[in-house]
Amino acid sequence: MSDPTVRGVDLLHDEAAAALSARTRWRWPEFAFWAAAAASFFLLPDQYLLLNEAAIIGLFALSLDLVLGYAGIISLGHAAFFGAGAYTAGILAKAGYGDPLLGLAAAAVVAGGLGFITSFLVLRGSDLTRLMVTLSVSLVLYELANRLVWLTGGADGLQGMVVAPLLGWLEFDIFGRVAYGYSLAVLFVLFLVARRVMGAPFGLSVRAVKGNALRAAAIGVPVNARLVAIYSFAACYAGVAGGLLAETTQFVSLDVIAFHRSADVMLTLVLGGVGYLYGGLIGALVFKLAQGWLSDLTPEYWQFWIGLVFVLLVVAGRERVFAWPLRLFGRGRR
Amino acid sequence: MIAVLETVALERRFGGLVATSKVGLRLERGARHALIGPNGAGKTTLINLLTGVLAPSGGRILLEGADITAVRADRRVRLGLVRTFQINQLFAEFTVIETVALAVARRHGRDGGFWRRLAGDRAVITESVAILERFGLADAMAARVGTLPYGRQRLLEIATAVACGPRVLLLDEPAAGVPEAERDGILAGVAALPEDVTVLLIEHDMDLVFRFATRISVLVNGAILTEGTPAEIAADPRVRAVYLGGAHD
Repeated sequence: MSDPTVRGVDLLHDEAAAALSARTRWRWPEFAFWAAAAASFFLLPDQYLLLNEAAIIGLFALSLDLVLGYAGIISLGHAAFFGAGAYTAGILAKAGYGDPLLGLAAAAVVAGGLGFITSFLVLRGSDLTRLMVTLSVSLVLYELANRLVWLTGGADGLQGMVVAPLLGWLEFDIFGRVAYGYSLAVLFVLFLVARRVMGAPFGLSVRAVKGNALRAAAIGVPVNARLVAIYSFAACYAGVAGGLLAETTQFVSLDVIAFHRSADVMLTLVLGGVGYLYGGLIGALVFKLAQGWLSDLTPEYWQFWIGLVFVLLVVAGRERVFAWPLRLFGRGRR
Repeated sequence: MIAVLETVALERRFGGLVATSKVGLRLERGARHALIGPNGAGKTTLINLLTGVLAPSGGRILLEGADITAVRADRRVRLGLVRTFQINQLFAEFTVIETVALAVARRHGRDGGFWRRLAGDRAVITESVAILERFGLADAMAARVGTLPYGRQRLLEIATAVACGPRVLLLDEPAAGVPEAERDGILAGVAALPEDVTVLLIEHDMDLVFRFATRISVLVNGAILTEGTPAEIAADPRVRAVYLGGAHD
């Protein structure tokens, strides 16, 4: 316990700073991942539609990862926010406000507001009650979208969306070139923001709440405020994903808010792994590729094969099958 | 003397069971106060009431004269009332430095930042490193908490509370489960706290209590039986009767 030299203290400070930034340091697989994503835009023109959908579902699954992987809130109704975003962008475009970025901003605000209001329902209770509450909220919204025909088009879907050119000059084309570039760029930017925020003290305190809510409160972290904040933040992301789908397909139907969306996004995320941000993106890509491949093979029964793959994955142990992306993207540090 | 922490007729019932019965406890500024009592006396219940984990059925809690009975647990921490747990409550997935740095950042009101990282926060790092050194944990700062041996987790449990900058520190059996030889190390970091920090120690290890405390309260069946200096408590026949079961008469 002798007085450490100034040099010794400096070394300890550097060590502390290094240890604190270990979780947020960029690793080469991350660069490779985004380089491959950028390359896909130039090299795979005939896959634009599929890749566009994968990017959107990836963003949606990333949103669920913030809620489930980082905050530990299990949700079986995340499509509520996806749907809210899709309808917001769609209704605006139909009403003549077709600017894509304006649509996304509005989708984020509406879905985020909905997330904020409903977050108070998931504060208390066990996983089971959270499952029921999130599911119920999405079912209520589904019925609302179904009934408010004048606003949403009901079961026929929202007809007559006119989406303006991106940034005023990039027309959305039928091959999905602009659509995919747009979705990928939005995904990338929002991923960077999520990565930054979850690596900042806010993200650390959210993970503290998930790790041990009792202790988090005992060091002064306002547990409920953190849960409300992360749930609303993630809802914004889901809303943007929904908005992207509406704008790039120029159509919104009840499908965007249906139960199977919530279930699919959960499967997608679990497939890729929770709690390291890339799980949703990888899961979405694998899911979409498998879906495309299987539906080519057996157009009628592809869902059977997807289901079978999932059952096998669970039986074989997801952690074992997907151990490599988790290691590559640094989940070992968690 | 000023009472830093005071309870007035504090009561907690679980159904028909009275776990805390009209407890009037007074901690003076800078006190090294111990709370002892046989198993089931309601010591942990009392700590849970003081820190806001449990709501009392009656009575009041005053922190520096202000009524905090209805104040939320995390807000009490921000007012300077900090505790440790009898059973380690740590973030198993965090590293040691992350745990302490989050607590330090919280005290500076920087635990909710959306952008600036702790790795670049010089003030937080300086303080965190100093606390880890004080508790002999500096060499383990990059280790995952869940991988630490039990004794070191116990140290981190207390270091984390100290990182919150307590004005009143409640230690719930800090030496529980720690081998005899390591017990002194547990309280060494606490002894280095500034003198105006008030410490309430709940402990079974009588050696530790009598070495540490300048004042002792005895809790029996949820009520304060007596209070006094260590010498008075050691000489009190009632304490011997209830606490030692009369075996030493």
